[in-house]
Amino acid sequence: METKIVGFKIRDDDYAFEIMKVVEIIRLKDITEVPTAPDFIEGVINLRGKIIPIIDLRRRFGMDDKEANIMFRIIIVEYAKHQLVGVVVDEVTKVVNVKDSEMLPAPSTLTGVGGRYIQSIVKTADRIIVLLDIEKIFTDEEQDELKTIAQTEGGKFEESPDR
Amino acid sequence: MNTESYKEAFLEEAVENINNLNKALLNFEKNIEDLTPLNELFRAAHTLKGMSATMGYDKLAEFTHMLEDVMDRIRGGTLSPDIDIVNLLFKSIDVMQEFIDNIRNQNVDFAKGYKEIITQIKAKSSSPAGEIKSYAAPQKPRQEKSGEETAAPGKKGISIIIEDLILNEAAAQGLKVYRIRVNIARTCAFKSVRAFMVSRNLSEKGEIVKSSPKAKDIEEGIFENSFELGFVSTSPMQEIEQAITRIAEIESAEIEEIKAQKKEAGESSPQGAAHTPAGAAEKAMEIPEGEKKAASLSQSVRVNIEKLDSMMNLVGELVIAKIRLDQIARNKTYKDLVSTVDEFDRIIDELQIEVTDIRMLPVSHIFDRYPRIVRDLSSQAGKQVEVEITGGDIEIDRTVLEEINEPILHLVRNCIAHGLETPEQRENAGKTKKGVIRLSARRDRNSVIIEVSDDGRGINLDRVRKKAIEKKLMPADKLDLLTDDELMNLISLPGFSTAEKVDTVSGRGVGVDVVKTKVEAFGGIFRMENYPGEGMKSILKLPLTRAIIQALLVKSAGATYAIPVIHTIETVEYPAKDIKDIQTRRVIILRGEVVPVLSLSELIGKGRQAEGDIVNMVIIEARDKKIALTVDSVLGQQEIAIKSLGEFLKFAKGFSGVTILGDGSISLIVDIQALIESNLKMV
Repeated sequence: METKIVGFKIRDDDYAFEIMKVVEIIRLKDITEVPTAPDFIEGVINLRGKIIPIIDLRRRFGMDDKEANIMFRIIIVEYAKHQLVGVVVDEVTKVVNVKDSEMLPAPSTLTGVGGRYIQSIVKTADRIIVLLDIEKIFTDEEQDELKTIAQTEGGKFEESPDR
Repeated sequence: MNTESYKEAFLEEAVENINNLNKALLNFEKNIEDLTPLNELFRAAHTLKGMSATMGYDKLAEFTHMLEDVMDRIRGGTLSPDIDIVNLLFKSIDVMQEFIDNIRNQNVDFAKGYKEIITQIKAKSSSPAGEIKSYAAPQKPRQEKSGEETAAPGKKGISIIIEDLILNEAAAQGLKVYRIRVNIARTCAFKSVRAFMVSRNLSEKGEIVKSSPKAKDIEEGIFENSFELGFVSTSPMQEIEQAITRIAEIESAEIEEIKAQKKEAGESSPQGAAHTPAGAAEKAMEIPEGEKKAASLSQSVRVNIEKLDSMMNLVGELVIAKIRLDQIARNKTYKDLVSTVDEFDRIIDELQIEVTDIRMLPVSHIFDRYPRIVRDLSSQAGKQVEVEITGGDIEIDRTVLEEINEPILHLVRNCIAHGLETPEQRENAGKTKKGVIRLSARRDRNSVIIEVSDDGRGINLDRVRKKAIEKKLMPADKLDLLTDDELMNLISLPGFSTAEKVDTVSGRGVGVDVVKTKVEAFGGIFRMENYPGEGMKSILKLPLTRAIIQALLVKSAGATYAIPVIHTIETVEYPAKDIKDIQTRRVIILRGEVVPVLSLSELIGKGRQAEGDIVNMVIIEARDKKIALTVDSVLGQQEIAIKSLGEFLKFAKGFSGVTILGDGSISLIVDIQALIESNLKMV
């Protein structure tokens, strides 16, 4: 079995998303800031009438900011099956075919930048690519918060717990 | 068309019929002597039976058939109704509701305990006490010709009931009141046309004050081969009969004159009669008039709400595109383009109004459930409560309506659990035994105001104070500084409940705060008014629609923000030197009123911007108070289509959504209430 992955760079490191998760790749465009949003959310963009939040992986990974240049791209990926999310990257490299045997689980000792978001490590002939899992972009607490918000919005009054 | 789409239609109609059943049964309960509501009950049950049999829901059909039977027997006088039967009927309606819910959710034709209800009803209706001699009104419309009998009044078997009120008023006006049964030939193909001719001919001679079935059904031909009318006129019986029977395909007309109990008014004073019966008869006429109106609107199509939603979305996009086009046209100098765009504008505006309108439903859709709900809840709580509804015809967007149902239910529960007293307490307080809950709706510019009020004891502020201390919501010394209004608003803090015991009706500590959150979540405003000893009022100010709203665009810290107009009062340009500092707060004096000043950029965490000599401010209404919000500049008012921020940005406090502006850029929609609240917490 082979998997296609979309490679990109942040700083000098190689990362990738599974191609099935990637919806499209666009040039960097104006990002509207959402002042009260958490730090790693850069803002939102208008993609042909759709509002898409943009995540700044650099900030999420605790890296320094870098001045935007012409190579910058936004990769639109699918999160939780229905929500679209944009990720700003330094440049998109290429689509790579990787064999299952080339995909290694992330070592548990990995404490480096962004270790938590790693789906697997891909070793090709000439380099190592970190395959990211977009679903893990949120911390557990953030996930929980998301869930509670979703529940209180859709839930019934009767079911609200006593506080 | 597949069965699924039939099912959808079936369910919708079933719900309507259940609502009708509830309504009619409540009416019936009020006055068990008056059998008129039974016609409505019978018809709703009959329709349900037919529908469910067609759809193959045999159990539901069997159940409704049994109900229909019971009602028919009550109507026919072979079963005398009592409170037990009424209660059983109420229970049966609940069972039907469960049937419908089960069909909708699990596609099974079953309801828990339906068999027991059948047994109970059967037992009840066959017990000797339930039986009385069959004396009157044969129910099946008579098919035989009865021309010869027409002259002899009295034992016609015409079952329509004319209220005494009408009889007395008609008598006072010197008018005669007739009960008429019109029998149409069975072979008649267009019963409704014949019925229309009857009503037209009769209208020349007097006024139709009542009909059975309802005018709407008669006009649609939903009746067997006969229908009955109440008719007020000066003409003698003979003339009326001729007026009816000269219409083709009318087999016969049975007429009898009825007189008011009090006869002293005398029947024939031709003076006041003449050709246009005035006063009483016209007043009585109002009811059928309204029914006719409803009938003429019935040329309708059922549309799936999802289709309407996507239509609304498209119109939203169209509005955005329109605004962009507008801007482009203004910047270019092609005359033709500008005029075409203007035309385009107008059409889209109209389209938007139409689409918005389609999605509107009268609030009676939810209001009408309350008499029944209140009946059940109040009897559980051992209280006597009556529901008064006004403004049920006010229309509001369907989605908004859906969202406010639960908040309203909550408020009503609160009224019953906390606000209204027991009959004894009320008597001691010099009130009527029966408490009143009022539900009212009215339009106010771009919003609808819904009020839920009761005439109970109101909010006991001392208890609120005690509770606040007990729950450590605020230290006692700080509480003393609060005004009564502010004190009352503590109720809307999470976890606050003044009920001493937890019961099924209300009082689990999640009350008003949930209502408030919910109402504010879709851009509404919630507040309460307290009248100690006399009751309280909850006021919900709601946007007419959620998808497209009017907003004020402002610039702050380099970005454009949209503030929903529902929250704004006015914009002012205020001299910077006149802004006063009171302790740490800034205030302005606006027409004698002290208004606190907050900066929008500060509220969203971007720090206060430098201000010029003249400060632009938007006066907003938040938490019952006026607040002057400083902004860099005010760009103007326009309609915006709201788009959700999506799951990711639910973290982002203070914004309810985004919109796309004419130049394609995004503007965040400010959620004033949330912003100010999170700001208050910060302070």
